[in-house]
Amino acid sequence: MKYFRNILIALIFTSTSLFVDGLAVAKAKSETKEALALEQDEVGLKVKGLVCSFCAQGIRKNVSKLTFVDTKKPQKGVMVDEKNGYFVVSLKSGKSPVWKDLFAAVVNAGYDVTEGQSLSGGKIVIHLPGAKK
Amino acid sequence: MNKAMNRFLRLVVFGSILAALSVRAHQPIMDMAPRWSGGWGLQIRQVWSGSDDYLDGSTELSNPDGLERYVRQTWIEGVYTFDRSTRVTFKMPYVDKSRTILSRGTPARQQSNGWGDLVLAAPLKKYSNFDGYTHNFSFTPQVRMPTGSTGDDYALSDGSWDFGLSLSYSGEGYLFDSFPNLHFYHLYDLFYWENRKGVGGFQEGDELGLDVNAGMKLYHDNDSLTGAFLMWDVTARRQEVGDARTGAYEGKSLQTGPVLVWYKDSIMIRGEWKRSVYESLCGLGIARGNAFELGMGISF
Repeated sequence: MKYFRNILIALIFTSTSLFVDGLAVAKAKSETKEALALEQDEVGLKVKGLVCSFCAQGIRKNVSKLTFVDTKKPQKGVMVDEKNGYFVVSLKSGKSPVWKDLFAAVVNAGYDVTEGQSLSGGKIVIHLPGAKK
Repeated sequence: MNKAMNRFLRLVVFGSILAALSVRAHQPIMDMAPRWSGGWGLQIRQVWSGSDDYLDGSTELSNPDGLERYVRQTWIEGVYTFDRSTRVTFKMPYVDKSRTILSRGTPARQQSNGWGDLVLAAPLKKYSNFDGYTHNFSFTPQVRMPTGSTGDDYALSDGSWDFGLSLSYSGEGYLFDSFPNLHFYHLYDLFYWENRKGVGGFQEGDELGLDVNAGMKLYHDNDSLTGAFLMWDVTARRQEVGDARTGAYEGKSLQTGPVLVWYKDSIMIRGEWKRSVYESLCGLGIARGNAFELGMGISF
């Protein structure tokens, strides 16, 4: 009985330590900012929590339904980079993205948007969720 | 007289333990997916378990009569996600089990198979997303309906409505600065089943359990959308004493072993082997033993 109980206590202690330690690291990571590598007909979104490649299919599923997404491109026009927490959307020729719909698609997929990025005149333009355009 | 009484007690205790020890997956399926609104998934999972280790408490005794118990369960499971905080799940087992018990002093083999008890659950999740990490806390009320047959000597169900609660935490991502490429996954699930009185007063003891999964992603290929996780599982169970009709039973067990998960796009395959490392019964009985699981799920 003691053996059994001690193992449980050790597991709970270890998991709590890992969780607290990991959360601190995760919060620190959220402060980093960087521009995504985009082509002219692409937009990118940085997404909090986008680390699970299996469940990230929800993002591909929701975003590829949007009318301005070029689903003929590889991976239905939604390239997910789960290692770096962002995805890139290929746009149909001559189409502009509807940022409100993009942000909503990410939230419906179970994630939270940090920011969107697009190219204008060779410069990165930042789009924030909730910001009025 | 003493010998006959001893055998009778062994039969009663042993039979009760076998009925109560059927391995049950407690937690609704698919913690990882689907987390998107309107997503749903199906999973089929096969569980083999059993043992011929004859225990008195935690001490193994000789087993000249060849007493044993083996159970094979095929779980059909489904999940629907309203939004990331609310899901509903069902789980239905097809059970094929056999045992050898002492009947009037001689070993007798019994076997039964059929659909077992349907489990419905409503996982309520609170997600938090960070850069490089995501986690969720879950509160899951569950109900087990008496859909299985209570008819045979080795019944598939005790015919009762049972109620369960589960509290869990899971998280995954890049947690450690020292290992920036280590994709870590961990799940902790504490649950309790209140097993109520069923047909003929038959009642299994209430069950308390803790499941822990911790591990890492082995690889992920972004072009083919394939990848794999390697984890370690710890499964702890404590089942309380049932009522007089089912015989006194109390058992604690600890199983542990590796878990391998492979996925491609929306398909996930999971294999798991659990080795029994500690077991203590209140009295005589067959150990819960080792278990092997193999499952495949798909989400839409």
